[in-house]
Amino acid sequence: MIYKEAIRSIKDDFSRSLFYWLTFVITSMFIFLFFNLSYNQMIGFTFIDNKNDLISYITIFVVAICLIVIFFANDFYVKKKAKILAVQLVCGATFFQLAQFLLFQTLLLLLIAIPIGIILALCLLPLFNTFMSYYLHTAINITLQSGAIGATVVILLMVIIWCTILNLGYAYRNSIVHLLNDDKINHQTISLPALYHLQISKKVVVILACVLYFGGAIYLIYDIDSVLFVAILGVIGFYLCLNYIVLPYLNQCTHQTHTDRPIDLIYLGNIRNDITLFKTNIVLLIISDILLVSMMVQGKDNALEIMMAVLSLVVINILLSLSIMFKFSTEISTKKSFCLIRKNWLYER
Amino acid sequence: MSNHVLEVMNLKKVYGIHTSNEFEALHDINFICDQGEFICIMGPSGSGKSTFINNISTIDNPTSGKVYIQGTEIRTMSSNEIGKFRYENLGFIFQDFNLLDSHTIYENIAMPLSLKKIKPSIINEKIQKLAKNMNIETLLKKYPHECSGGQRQRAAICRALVNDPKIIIADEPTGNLDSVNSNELLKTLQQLNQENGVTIIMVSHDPLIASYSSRLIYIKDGRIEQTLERKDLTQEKYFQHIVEINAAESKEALHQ
Repeated sequence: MIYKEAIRSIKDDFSRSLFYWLTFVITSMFIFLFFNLSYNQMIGFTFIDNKNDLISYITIFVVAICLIVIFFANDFYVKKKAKILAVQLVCGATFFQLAQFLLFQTLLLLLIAIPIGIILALCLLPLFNTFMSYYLHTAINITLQSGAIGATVVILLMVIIWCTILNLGYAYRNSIVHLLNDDKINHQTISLPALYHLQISKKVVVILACVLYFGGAIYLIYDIDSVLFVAILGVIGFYLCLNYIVLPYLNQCTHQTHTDRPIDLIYLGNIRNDITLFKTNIVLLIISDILLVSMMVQGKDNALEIMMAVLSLVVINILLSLSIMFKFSTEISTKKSFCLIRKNWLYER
Repeated sequence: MSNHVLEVMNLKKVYGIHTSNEFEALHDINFICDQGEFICIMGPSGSGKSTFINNISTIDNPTSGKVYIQGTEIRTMSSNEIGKFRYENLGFIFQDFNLLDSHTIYENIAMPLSLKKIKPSIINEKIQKLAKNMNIETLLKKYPHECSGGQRQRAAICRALVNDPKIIIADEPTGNLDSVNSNELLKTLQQLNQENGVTIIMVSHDPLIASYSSRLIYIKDGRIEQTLERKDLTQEKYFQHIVEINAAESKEALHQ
């Protein structure tokens, strides 16, 4: 029964399942492509004895981002199943049954995605070879590497274990009341018990955010070599600015906006909601780009390293954009009905 | 042998532990419910009624204290055991029904039995009987969105009853129903209680609905403020007493 329910859940939630599946397809495709390139004899990456530090950093970084993207997609996919999980619990489902229900969906989508991802990667190989020889003027051909197959299998197994842990954790730690409310509560704040008594004045944080965000640009005039360090601090400043300046300002605007301007209220509410939802994804995308561009600059004398960094940049941007799109598409469906209700209300007025 | 189906000792619920919004919703509550009772939990908004009913029925986890259902402490059970326990002992009815929109009424009602891998022929037999009793036998192939609020709530009751539970937990079951459907639902619950001996614990803020119960528990600010037993009172007299309790609380609030 539980497997039938799982298949049915995929079918009922088709658009989200499709995006989740696409994340798996693209992740598998890029992991396979990436390892075929990094395992190329001229680059010489191996898990055990690599010859190039920069390449190993890039490889680990890309794999880590792939896992984070899957984490985002999985988290969002499973959380939208909160109601069905709650109802099953109310009806007497055991933890083992819930685990089966969630795992079956994840594994089914992943197992369909892996071969398609690998076939797509094989189809893309000639295109990448043309791109590299034409634009980067390198003599390297990405060919099928035996080590790459092993590495891809290892990473995808990690993905399966990762998803398993995430889904089991979700099914285990939540009470029915939490699951029933999970669909309605979008913005969960993470509490840090250790920092509970650490009271930092909001003004101090605002000043710190501005110093980090704007001060870096001034500092670069004097010390251009610290660009990476300053950029990372700038992103931290940007994140703090969003949290402590932009969002409170939007809150204030929403409260001050008169109810006879409902359209403005909708705009403000949507902007505030989008920033709250997507700030982590956007900051992750910016940090990834900064790190990869700096790696590209670091390896500017080595065409192979530039090529790896370029490919990584493309991979990371596609994957992170996909995760943002996945989240946004889910969010937009709720906004559509919300806006229609508001529009109707406007007409009535 | 003890006749208690539910025993609650020093129940405490704290929300937002270790955050600046820490809030104690229930303070050391003690409560006993005997087999076959029909208990109504009343109280002003935000008094902790739903928190209380959720924490005594495995829907939420108490912060501290002990809850015994049929003599078993629920916090000592593993997550697998608790599923089996819910199936054998509890039936839930919610204000917003909590039916799955992607499933037909039949499939929604069948879910507890399907999860326990009961034979389809037995499931069918049970559902047909319950649906006939609840007057929804013509709706079984429909989806919840094709049914009215009253019909959906009746389907939710069928789902709660299909596994023959010993206790029914109902959180504002009439909250989304009109007066006719509310009355019908309460008569059904009363009938289940009187004829089948099912213990019912229900949350409501309406004195008329509360007057169907055999005992009233009045909760205020996370504590049991008053208890009123119906005993030999007529429903009308009992209703008047309940109204008086509510009025006294309202007056107190007015003078604060």
